[in-house]
Formats: sequence, C-alpha cells, structure tokens
Amino acid sequence: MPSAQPPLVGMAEQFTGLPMGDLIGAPLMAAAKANSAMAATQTKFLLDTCFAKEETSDGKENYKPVLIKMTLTRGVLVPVDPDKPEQEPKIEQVETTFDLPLLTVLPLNSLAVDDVSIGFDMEVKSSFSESTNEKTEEALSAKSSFSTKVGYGVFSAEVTGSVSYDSSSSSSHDTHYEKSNSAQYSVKVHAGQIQLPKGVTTIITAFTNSISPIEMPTAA
Amino acid sequence: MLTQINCPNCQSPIPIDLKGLVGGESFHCKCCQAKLSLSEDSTDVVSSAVTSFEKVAQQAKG
Repeated sequence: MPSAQPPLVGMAEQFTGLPMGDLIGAPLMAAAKANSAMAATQTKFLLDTCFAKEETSDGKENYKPVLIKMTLTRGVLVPVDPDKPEQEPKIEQVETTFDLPLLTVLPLNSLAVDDVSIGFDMEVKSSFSESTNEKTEEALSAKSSFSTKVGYGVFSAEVTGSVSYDSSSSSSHDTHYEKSNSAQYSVKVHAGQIQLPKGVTTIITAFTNSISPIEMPTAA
Repeated sequence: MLTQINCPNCQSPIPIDLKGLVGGESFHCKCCQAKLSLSEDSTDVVSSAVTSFEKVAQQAKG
C-alpha cells in the first residue's frame, strides 16, 4: 500500500454546507402561504355569499346565515284507517320543505392545498484508486570468437574458438490500492390537508341536526 | 361540483352535484330512498353562490 494517499472527502462537511432551509423550507412555506391566502379568500367568500350582513339597533354588524329551501320527499308508513287495525298499512309519499343554510351545501374545504410532498435526495461519493506497475528487464549478451593459425614448416595448426555469455533478469511489481466511501441523505416532508376548523364543523353539524323532519301530531 | 348533505331522514350522506341541484335534479338517499331537491324559490341564490364559488376556486388555482 502506498504510504501517502489523498484523503477522502468528509461526508459530514458535504451535508453541512447545504442550504437545507431553502431547499426544503421554501416550497413548504410557499404552500403554507398559498393555503393562508386561500383561507382568507374562503372566509371572505363565506361572509359575502353565505351570510347576510345586517345592522342591529345598537349599530353593530350581525351576520345572518343565508337559508335555502330544500324539499325532502320520503315514504311514511300510515294506517289506512285508524279504526281498522286489521288493515295493512300503506306507504305514503310525504313532502317536507325545510330551510338549509347555504354554507352547508358548498364544498368549502376544497379550497386548500390538499397535498405537498417535497423529496430531496443527495448522494456524495468519494473514491481513490492508485495503481503502480514497475517492470525491470535486464539483458546482457556477450559473444567473442577468435581464430588463429600457427604454422612452422610442414606443421600448421589452426585453432578456432568462441566464447559466449547470455544473461537476463526481470522483475515486476504491481500494486493496486483503492478506497471509497459514500453517503446518502434523504429528506421527505409531507403536508396534508387539514380539516375544517372545529368551529365551522360545529356550526355545520348544528345546522345539519336541525333539519331533521318533525312529525306533527295528528289531530285527535 | 360535488358536495354532500346528510339525509335529514336517516343521516346517511347523500352525494350531490350542485350544478345538477340548481338545474332541478333530485338526489336519492341510498339508505332510506328519500328524495332531496332544491326548491324553486332558492334556485337563484344557489346558482349565484355556485358561480361565485367557481370564481374563487379558479383564482385559487391560478
């Protein structure tokens, strides 16, 4: 392993430098502002359309709900003749007219940001790789030859000879070093639609409960 | 534009299309078969409210 390697990047530093407030908070704030603006518009619409403003004798403003007339037709079981209990009762269609606040028929809670989802994924990868390849080759070759003639009178001789030398050496050095690190940071923010305020729900429930038909007692 | 009103007879929710209601349509309760409709006297009030509501909803989207 090589003695000195460059250091890998610090993961914590990479994430610390991110403007998380802007990345995640900004879209969420924009959605919240939009919701707030819509709530204000909704309140204004509610007061202007669903309520009639009237001034009281002492100069105060009084909001009275605008009422609409609805017709309910339902089957009511009635005896054919009260004096003849043995007779089969019959179902009679009864029409009831009742007042209903306009407020209760409008889908007010549809004026809101119903879903905000912010997904933020960041992946930091750092890696270091080093490869060393060393190869040494050495070759030595020597060749020598000689030839000589020696003669004296009738004698003669020829001497030949050769010398050769061959040598080779090689060495190889292979080093591979690798290191890596990675980190992933995932943030998910979810904001769902909130229900209507409890006060509005209570008013609507009170209005709704008050529209139940009431049976008038028959004259004796 | 869909909304719902609880049936005055059995309290089951009756899904209502407001434009249909203004147009004279009747809506039946699936539970007790009661029929709910808008009285002619109130057609103008509801129609005006629906138009205003649509404008507000359009502004909210835009």
